[in-house]
Amino acid sequence: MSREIKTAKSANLMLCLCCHHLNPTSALRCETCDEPVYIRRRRSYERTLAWLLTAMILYVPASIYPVMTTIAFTRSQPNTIVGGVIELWQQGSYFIALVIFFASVVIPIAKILVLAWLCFSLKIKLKTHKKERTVIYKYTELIGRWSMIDIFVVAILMALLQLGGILIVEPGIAALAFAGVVIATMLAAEAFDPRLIWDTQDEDHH
Amino acid sequence: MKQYTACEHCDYLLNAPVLSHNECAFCPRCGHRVSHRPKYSLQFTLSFSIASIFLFILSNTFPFLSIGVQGQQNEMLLWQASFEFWNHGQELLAVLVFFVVLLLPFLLLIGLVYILWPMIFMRSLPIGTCWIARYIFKLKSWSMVDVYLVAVLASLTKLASMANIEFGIGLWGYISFSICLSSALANLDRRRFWQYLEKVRCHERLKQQNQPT
Repeated sequence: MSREIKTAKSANLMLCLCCHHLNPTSALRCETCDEPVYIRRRRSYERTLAWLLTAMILYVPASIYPVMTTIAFTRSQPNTIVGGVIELWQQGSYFIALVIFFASVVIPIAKILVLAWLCFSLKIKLKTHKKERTVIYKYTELIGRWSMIDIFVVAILMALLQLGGILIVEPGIAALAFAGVVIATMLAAEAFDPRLIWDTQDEDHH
Repeated sequence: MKQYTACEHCDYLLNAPVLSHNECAFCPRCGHRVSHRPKYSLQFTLSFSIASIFLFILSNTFPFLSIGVQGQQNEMLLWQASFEFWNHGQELLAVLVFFVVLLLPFLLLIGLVYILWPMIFMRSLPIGTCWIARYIFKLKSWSMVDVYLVAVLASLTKLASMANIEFGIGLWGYISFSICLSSALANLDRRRFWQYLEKVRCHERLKQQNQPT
């Protein structure tokens, strides 16, 4: 590239992520909103990896153990997350089956893979596909909340069936583990700083 | 320094966009939306927030769903879904669901009204504005009202074959609450909010200077 690309960092300025005010790099707190400011998110790389690892570990119990156990009369039937999706598919409610499949299987795995790849690309100082990586990051951040669907479904089923008195639903270990996965991936996405993707290019020019 | 800003996603230094109504500014390098200005941004946020608070009260006082088995209808309230986790010994999940579905959206709305009402109508900043506004922007993405609604839909299809489910007023209230809350948050732009806050702060300072003379 012929012309030098100017970033806030090269101009000795840093952006406050809370109010988007530009502060001089000597500032400790933002002039407008009093939030602590840093040039890049603090320990972004390490914190993202740590949350990712947490999510990966928690994903194992979340997919093996039952999310809920339905007890009808004396027969108890444990339900895993994937089992619930298959059951819905067999009942013929394809749309809801797909929604839950995407929300509780595809999105968490995709999020973990994408964030791990983004971290890896930072490590090897990848210089291509910067724009694409930023866009991917943006969507992983946006979509993360939707994985909570399964937890809410368990909560609603429990309350409703308890009232109806048809069957008793017991929450399983996987529910807590899965909630942990969702929270850990959301925190990982929040800890990641996409500006690090663009930093590699700027270092070349100096 | 005032006339410059930087892209949140790629740190590209750009001239601070001056927007008129219904315009957006995008980063030329990474395509991220740097700022947008909906028509009457903060006024809309305030009015939708006030509407949301009423709808929130409505959806909590009226039955949410009712389940009927063998002619007997039982009603369920909104908060009971999260409370059920507590009964089964999963206190952590109960607190999480309660926080994310009920408490956080409500606190966000109360905070927004508390800040925006005096700012728009009285041109003054209430105590702790900065602190509350910062937490509103930080915790915005953790309110999962819309996710909860899709979960209601999913669990209803699961139950449809087993029992007779009826929607209560609370559910309709919660649906409208969800729409109003997302409209309130969609009309809230970081840059515009903090610019407006600075303006009000300046106004207050000028008023203080003029008072003694």
